[in-house]
Amino acid sequence: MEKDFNMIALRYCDWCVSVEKQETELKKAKAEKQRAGRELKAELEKRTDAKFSRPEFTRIESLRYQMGDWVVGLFIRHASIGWYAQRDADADSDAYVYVSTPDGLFRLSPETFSLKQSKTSGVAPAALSLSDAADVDAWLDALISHFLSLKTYGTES
Amino acid sequence: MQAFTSYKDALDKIRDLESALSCAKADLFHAEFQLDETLADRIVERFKEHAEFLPSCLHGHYRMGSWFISIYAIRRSAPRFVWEAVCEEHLFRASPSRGLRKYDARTHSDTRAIPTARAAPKVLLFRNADSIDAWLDELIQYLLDLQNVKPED
Repeated sequence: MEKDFNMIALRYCDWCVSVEKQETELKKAKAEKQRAGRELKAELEKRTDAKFSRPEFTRIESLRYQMGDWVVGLFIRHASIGWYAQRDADADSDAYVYVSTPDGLFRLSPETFSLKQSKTSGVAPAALSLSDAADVDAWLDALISHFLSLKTYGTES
Repeated sequence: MQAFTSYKDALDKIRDLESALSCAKADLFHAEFQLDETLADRIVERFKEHAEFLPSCLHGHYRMGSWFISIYAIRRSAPRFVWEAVCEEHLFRASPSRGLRKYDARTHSDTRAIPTARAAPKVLLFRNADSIDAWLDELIQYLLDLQNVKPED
């Protein structure tokens, strides 16, 4: 009984120390992630601004650009860089709302507010995994080509 | 590409730490449960040694004359054993944080403090479990002294 009690008490204290240590480490890692996240965003912003410095695109804000009726944007989520493009229509216009994502091009039904997939000529680029970050410039080129191909959508009713 | 890799490294590290933390917490919970039971057993054993304490049908609760004594574990934030002694007949209450006090039966709030020869024992943190015997000695002695508190105090 005595031995059991001491063993249990000792093990409990060991686990307490282990949990506390890991919580401290986690806090440090989260602070590190925040710092690295700011650096990543700044780096991505620099590279994206350079690539999108074409007459077709106007910078609206960080990682967000206007291309005619389309607004395109990039964002960092978990371990990858995602993107979207959206063409909004005026309420009194006959044009449809279109949304393009790595999953494809969708048309919003104004009656049901549901999304219907539209056919496209090419394949939408996937989100860029940070494991493939070395290819970010090539990925941005593919993304720009895709955005340019969207210009033909959304004007037909 | 430093910015890309350092962000990814931080994410990977967080994922690993979260997974390890989750395992450690599960182990801690298990160890805490076991410790809770063994501490409770030890409390029962020690209180048995004193005929003044009559065990109640409720685990961890005792009667000593007109006093009701409760000893129980609180497991949230810092897991610990706490105790409380109440004499409803003469409106006394003793606790680790406030010592011995007179209380108002209508509002159930403590009123004036009553000086005692010994300080009220503090709570026993689970992580100080190895000092349970000394804690029980102190607690039992403090509780036995409460028998000397006069109704007019």
